[in-house]
Amino acid sequence: MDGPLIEIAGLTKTFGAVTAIQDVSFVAEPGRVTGFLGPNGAGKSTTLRTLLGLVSPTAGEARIGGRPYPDLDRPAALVGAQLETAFHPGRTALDHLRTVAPLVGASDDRCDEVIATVGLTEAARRRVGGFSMGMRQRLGLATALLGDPSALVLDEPANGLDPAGITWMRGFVRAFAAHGGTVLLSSHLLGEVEQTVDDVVIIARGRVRHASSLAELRDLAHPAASLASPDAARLARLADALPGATLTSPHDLTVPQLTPAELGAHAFAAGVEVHRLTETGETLEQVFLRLTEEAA
Amino acid sequence: MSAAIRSELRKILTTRLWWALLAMMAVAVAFFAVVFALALTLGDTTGPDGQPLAIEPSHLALTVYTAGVSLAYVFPLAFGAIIVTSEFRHRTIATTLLAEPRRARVITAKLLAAIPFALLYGLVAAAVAVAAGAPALALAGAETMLGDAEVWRALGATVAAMAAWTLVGVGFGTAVTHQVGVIVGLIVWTQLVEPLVRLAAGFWSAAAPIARFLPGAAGEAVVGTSFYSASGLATLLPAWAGLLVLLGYGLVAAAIGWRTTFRHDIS
Ligand SMILES: Nc1ncnc2c1ncn2[C@@H]1O[C@H](COP(=O)(O)OP(=O)(O)O)[C@@H](O)[C@H]1O
Ligand SMILES: [Mg+2]
Repeated sequence: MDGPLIEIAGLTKTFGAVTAIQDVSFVAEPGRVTGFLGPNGAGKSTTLRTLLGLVSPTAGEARIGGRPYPDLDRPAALVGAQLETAFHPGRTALDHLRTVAPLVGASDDRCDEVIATVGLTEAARRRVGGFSMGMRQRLGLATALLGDPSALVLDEPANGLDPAGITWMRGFVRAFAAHGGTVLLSSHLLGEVEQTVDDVVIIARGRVRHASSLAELRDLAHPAASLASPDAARLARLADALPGATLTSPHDLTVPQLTPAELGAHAFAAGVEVHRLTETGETLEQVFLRLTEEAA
Repeated sequence: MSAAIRSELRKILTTRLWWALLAMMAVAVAFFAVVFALALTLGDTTGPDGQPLAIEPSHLALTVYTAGVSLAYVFPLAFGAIIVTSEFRHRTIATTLLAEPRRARVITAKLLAAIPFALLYGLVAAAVAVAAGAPALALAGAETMLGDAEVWRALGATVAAMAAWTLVGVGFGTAVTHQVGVIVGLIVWTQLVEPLVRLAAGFWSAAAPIARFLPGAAGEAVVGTSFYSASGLATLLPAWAGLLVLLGYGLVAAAIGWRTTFRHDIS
């Protein structure tokens, strides 16, 4: 599978006085899972809806495989999209898929196939009105897969899924990208997708704050280390020697901007007996929060 | 285009709406046919002058057979509106437009997919009117007039009128998209506002020719008999013109919907 490149260039959208997104630019590459992350109201859904031609941008443009979504010949056969999980409550899961099938050129067998893929075979002939949020998410994904696309655009796909569902979704999306597909998915929780994504785009208050690989995001974490020692006197002297160091108690020292290895080396050189040495730097979640809260 | 039509047909056939409204319409038509048959034959038919009202047998039968249409048109109208508005109410319009981003095509497909159902509503209405009205007339000792060409013309016109009302529903559903708003609005207009407007127009001769083009009047013109025309309060268009005017309302509303609601952001 050769997934298309998804390019978003200078997208701006205002709803009356509200600027939902401003000058949003990033790419999602084939063979990779791109996480589009930001707090609620950051502009994720607006960006994805504009990408998919449901919202017309005030400025800028979005292309999938070089063309705007509405200009694609059979868009749903290239890009499978899942936005909100909205279905007619009186329709069965299978009937819902059959209403979309003619538009994406899918047969009845294909409907059965995607329902099996998402694990809804048992519920296929039940009305969607009685479905849990997790089941709706699965049916939404089945709808996205109907046209056998090589790209997936998923808005908060983990919302409402139980831990087993999240693990399943992670495996599915990873395999899709491993086969060469392009995946762009949004979430307001980094922790939820940390093990799923290769790249991250962080958006807050309508603007992109950061875009890189997940590994590069990890490198942005401010390191810190702390050390426990029974020797209060030498520990106090070590604290004086290290800039920014604080004693949280006579026996506990915390030092910013140092890794545990570096702090261990300083302790060794100063002859401080070490009982415990721990990493207390920013977690990935804290880096994410810091980036979303920083002034633009 | 055929894929879009097939998708719309499946949408209609996979929910209960079409047959639930069809069943309600059948009950309503049967009820009105029987009530009119019995009321006009067995009721007090003394006129204001104290003389018995002479209702011609063919006029009596026509009134009974077409009674349903003058009220039961609300069912195909609601059906047509809901096949559009339910997409907004249940927010499935996003899924539809993701699979078919050409929005004019979606509206056209909805209009075309509604046609077989529109005819079905019309045929069932005509069939039920005869099935309930003829025995009721016979029971009351009146003639059923089923051999009369005029009766069959009126029944054919019933089919056309009910079908046209379905498309009016689709058109206004596209333009308004608020499910309750559009249905209540159309019923209030045709049942309350328009009769008053036409009544007022009856007193002002310059307005009368214009009042004939109102949707309710156009619908009545198709069938050719109604309370209002029977009461001599209003002149109606010829049947063919009434049908064109009614269809025109549907298409113009659909075009307005295409330029307005379907242009909007889906967010
Ligand atoms: N149709 C709309 N009309 C007005 N404001 C909107 C509309 N859609 C979104 N917004 C606003 O745009 C901002 C971004 O919303 P959204 O894209 O839904 O964020 P997210 O998906 O990241 O939670 C919010 O302030 C939201 O209130
Ligand atoms: Mg959102």
